[in-house]
Amino acid sequence: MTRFLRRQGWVAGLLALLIFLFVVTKLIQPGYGSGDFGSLARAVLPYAFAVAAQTVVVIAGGIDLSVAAMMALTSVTAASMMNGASEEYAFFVVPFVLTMGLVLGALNGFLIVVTRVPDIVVTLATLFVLQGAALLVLDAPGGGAAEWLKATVVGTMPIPNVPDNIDAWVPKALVLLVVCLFVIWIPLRRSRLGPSIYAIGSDELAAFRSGVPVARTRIVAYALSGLFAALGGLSLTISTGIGAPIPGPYLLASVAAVVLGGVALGGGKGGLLGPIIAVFVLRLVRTDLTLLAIDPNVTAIIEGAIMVAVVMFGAFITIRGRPAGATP
Amino acid sequence: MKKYLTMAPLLAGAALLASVGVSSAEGKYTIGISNTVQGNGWREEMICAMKAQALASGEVAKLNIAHRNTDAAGQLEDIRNLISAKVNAIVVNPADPAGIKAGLEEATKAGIVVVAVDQAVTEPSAYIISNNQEQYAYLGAKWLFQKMGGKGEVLYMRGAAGASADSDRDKGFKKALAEFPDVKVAQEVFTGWQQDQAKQQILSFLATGTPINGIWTSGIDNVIVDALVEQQAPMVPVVGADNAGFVGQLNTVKDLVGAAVTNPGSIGGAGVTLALQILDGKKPAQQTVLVEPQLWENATDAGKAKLKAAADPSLSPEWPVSISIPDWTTYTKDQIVACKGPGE
Amino acid sequence: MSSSATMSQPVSFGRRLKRFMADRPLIPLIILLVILVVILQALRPGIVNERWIANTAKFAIPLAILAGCQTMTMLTGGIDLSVGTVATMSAFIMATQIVNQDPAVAFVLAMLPAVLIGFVNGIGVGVFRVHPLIMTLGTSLIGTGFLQVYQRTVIASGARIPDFLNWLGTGLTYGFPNALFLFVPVAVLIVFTLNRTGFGRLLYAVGDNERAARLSGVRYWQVITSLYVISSLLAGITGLLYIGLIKAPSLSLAEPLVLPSVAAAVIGGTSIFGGRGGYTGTIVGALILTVLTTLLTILHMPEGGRRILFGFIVLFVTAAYLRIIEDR
Repeated sequence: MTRFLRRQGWVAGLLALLIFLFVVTKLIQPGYGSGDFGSLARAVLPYAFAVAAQTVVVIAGGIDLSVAAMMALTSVTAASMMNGASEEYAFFVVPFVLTMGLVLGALNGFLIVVTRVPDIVVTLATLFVLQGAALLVLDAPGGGAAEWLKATVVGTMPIPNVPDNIDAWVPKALVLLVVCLFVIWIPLRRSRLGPSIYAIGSDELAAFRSGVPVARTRIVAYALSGLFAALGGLSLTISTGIGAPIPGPYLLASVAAVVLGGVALGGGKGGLLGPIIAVFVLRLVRTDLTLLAIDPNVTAIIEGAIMVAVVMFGAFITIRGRPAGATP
Repeated sequence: MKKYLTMAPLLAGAALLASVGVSSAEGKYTIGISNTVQGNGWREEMICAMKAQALASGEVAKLNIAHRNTDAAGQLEDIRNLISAKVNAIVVNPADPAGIKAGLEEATKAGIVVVAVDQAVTEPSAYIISNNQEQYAYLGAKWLFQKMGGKGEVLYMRGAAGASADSDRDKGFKKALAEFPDVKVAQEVFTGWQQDQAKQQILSFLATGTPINGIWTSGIDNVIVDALVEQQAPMVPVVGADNAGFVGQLNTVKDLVGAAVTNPGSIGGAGVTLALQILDGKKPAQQTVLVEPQLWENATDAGKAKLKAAADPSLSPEWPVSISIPDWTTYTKDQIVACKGPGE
Repeated sequence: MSSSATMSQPVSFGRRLKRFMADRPLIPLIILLVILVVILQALRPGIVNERWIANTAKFAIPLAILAGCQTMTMLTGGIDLSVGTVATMSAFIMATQIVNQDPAVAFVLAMLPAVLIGFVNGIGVGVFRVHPLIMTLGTSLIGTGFLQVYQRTVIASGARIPDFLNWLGTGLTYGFPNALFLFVPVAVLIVFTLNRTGFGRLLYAVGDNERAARLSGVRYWQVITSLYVISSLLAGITGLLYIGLIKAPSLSLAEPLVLPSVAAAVIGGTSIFGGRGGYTGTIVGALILTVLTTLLTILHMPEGGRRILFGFIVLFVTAAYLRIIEDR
């Protein structure tokens, strides 16, 4: 019960931080409005999927270093397939690329289970493999994207019977993100698979003894990670209209947001909501740094310092919150 | 516990607010800058040139600089943040010519002047002042192949695999190669524009004992000359960029024949000038201005004189020595080296 | 005699060979290294000569020292991802400060960030119990930021590589790289510390079973803090050696070595979960990676293909090696 409270407390704290940042943003730039919020949602999109990909695997007690490379590969695949193709063809491309992410992710999990090499090393190796594959698909940035796909993240969601000034705060990119995450995450939590993923992350041996199929669950966790990463790759292609074979800064960002979001590296704890809010926090900090015209060389220090401070703070309250008698 | 949680954001916020600079009231414009590669000499010089030109022009009140390592999607985020910041103009070094089209279009719609430097962009409303990357590679490669007597083996040391500037340069290199059918590429490697990787690669290649007659580099040049000297390998003609370190080597290293092709990082300053001209109502005749590269070689006396004049040992070795562009930049060397913008 | 005995019992020979290798984990690693060298020689006859060996050693040494940082931290179940930033900082500060400063002063200034970052890492991991991955990632971000700010102050002062570092990084004595003068003592010291000193045993003990180690009176945070300071100092020294080798102070000088340093330690048989491993294996791991890099450089194939091959070989080598030594 206390653990449940603590976890929710962390998410609530993050939410408070996010609201505080919105207030700060409004103070810095009084003109900050719904259009700017839409920009934020679009910026969040690829990061949020990268973080979701990382979260599933971290909860299962692993780590996935190949997230950014997987996004690059799926992005160039989608962009090169849609290049010059008809609008309808994209209806085939999207499921194809998502399946590709699912299968390649499962392959990550399969390699970890079969070779018994630690996940960090397997995914480091697949990072190089996926990067190489992305370069073979496109050796320079290029390709295209269907117009209807690009339109899915532009503008706001028209909702009937809702006044325009409220509707303006519901950008399509945000709706897309929430729908995609819900469609995958909620059935997962409800099924037997969800608790299994938590179980192998918190104590593999205990999970095995209580009948959880550890190997299969691990493969599924990595497959889901691949699926989220493919969504991230697609979102890159959709927002830029091209595919770029060099991975973006999503690996480090995903690990940072997972930890900020209250998911313990080591597994078994946390949810998806915390990391997603953490992504919004990190992106909004970036916005504020730009709005304030802070020396760009200092921004890396500020971002790093916020990360370290919050994580140390989180660790600190965990230590204090431990029941008496446990090791400090 | 709630109390603890609210303290962290307060502290973070205080840190943010404390670092807000007070901008000078002299200029009238706010200019936004977006760049997606941090930590190499060329890009740092570009940023300093932008700051110095903004200061020297006296027309700029404040610069909003988004300067970090990211991709096209990240640059879209930065451009939209600059739109939120209500800047008057955005000078952008594009991560990709096509990938940031949507953001630039939104900026133009918001009444912001958009200038792309270093590379072209596909957005038609943007003004472009760019180094001609294809010509950069063609000029150097053609000189190199001529120096090789139109035949032999060349070591082709490219930039980062998958980068659009690298693929533009590849076009120029291939164009020159097609003109010299007897020149063959002995080996093609990607340095990733990383000094240490380039040095490891050249040493590995030298160890194979494969004879080569020339080396073309994509600007990671001084480590290559160092490797040749250290290994006492036969000196072959080397083509590089006008980085301070390499230009110094062309003047001093014994038996080294080579050429530096200019690729001025000061193009950033020119971009600021162009943006200010447009803001002042003086639109250029064409949408695109290309700055053509020059080639400085040490094979002739005239070339040697140019190199001597260009050399600047006091500069950081990764900085291009062409720290200004005639007609386009008005700052002094002290100003660009100080790297301070308006209000700093 | 022995040959006839093995011929009559081929199965038992295979088992004995495996047992032999499992008892001496260095031997299969060295065999792998020899196989790679033979492939290299077969592809480009004549490449394996005195000069090539010296060059390979020159590049393997900095990698091996950084991999030593990983080995030591991994023994406690940690990792140090800040080594690349620390090495780059010390190298850059040295090259720019030597212009106007006394060499001793420049050296102290160059090592200062190493000590600081190491100390902060140690406090974060040892006292606040932050996960080492995220802690060292955060400090490396902050370090990079400070380096960015610092470089602006030295644009006009130029840079110089001290003659001593140049000698150490690139020079040869009787055909042997001078870097060995630094590396041999460092390697001996690390091996000695790990195997023969109380501190070394503490590292293994902490990694093996942290709680047991703590209950038996190990001052956990002091051990961890000294460990991360030592790791950072080694990284700083590596930076000085590396700048002597590369002779081009760049702001990302040693960053490309970070992931390979992790890979070298793992290939060398150190468990990323702690408690198992040693430095001699890591040295061979670093050599394997360096030879592999050479091999891929001279192959005529698209860059994408090279990366794919690199990923698969790293995975294969680690998996094969784990199979051999885990079967004891």
